Amino acid sequence: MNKLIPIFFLFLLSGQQQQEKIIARQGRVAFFSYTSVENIKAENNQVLSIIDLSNDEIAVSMLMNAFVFEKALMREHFNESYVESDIYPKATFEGKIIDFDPAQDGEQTRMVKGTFSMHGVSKELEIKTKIEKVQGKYILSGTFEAFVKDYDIKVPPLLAGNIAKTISVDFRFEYQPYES
Amino acid sequence: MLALVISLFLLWGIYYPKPIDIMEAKPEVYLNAETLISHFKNKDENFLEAEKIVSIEGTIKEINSLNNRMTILLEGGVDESACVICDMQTDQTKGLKKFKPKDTIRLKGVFKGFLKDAIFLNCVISQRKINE
Repeated sequence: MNKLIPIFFLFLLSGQQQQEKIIARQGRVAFFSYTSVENIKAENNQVLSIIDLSNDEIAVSMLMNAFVFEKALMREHFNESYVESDIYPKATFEGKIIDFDPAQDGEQTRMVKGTFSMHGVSKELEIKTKIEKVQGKYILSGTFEAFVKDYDIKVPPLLAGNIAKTISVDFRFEYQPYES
Repeated sequence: MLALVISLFLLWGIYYPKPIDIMEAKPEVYLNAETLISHFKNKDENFLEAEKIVSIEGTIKEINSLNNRMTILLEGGVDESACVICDMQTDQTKGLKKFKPKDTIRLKGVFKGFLKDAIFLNCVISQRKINE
């Protein structure tokens, strides 16, 4: 994942066609784990995303330690045992919005294809995404499911019943023109 | 019996840790927003360790309630697009009503790291002065 970070920042800092980029500094990503033993939810409201409207590329980056949980203990387990946020502080997504028409007002549903990297593991994802364009402002939202085992997250046998094998992830990004 | 009660109390403390009371916590670092962002711009990302309790002062760029969270953005410098994002504790909403963009404010919060901006959670107003 560390190799991806400089690429992400190059994408952020490239000087060309900045007028065609839009940015969400306070994107929201929430995840839910439902089991008969315990329901766990957490949200991160400071997720960064940039879209280059000239080529439909999208980049997302989030700090794993910025997820907020209901209980301090859940947060501790998440950061220290599961995602090891001191070793892997960020999760990133780099991809492309397929068949996206930035000029289209109103709502369109598109697939976003790209690579999601978390906990040192990269996975190709295809996410169905609702794109709204209202008064020139873009909002992307959607839901997808992630498998805990795909990201090399080891849940101790004692807690296996508390963590769902499939985690539901919600996201919502409100973009503004990117002025660097 | 007393030993059992004490043991249970200690175990409870280990397994159910209390969240940090930021209002009472003493800042480990005192900074202003522009200094913090300039370190970030100079690729000095290790300048500030994550999870430190920081007192940060700066000029308010924006106050918003996106995602139903009260958030203050502090300016990162005259020509900088980067800023400091402070996610406020819910009990700070009333105190925030007195503030507007361009005011100077001092906040206390937990530093989480850098993306394009510096990110702080659990922020509270620790001292303020309004620009004339």
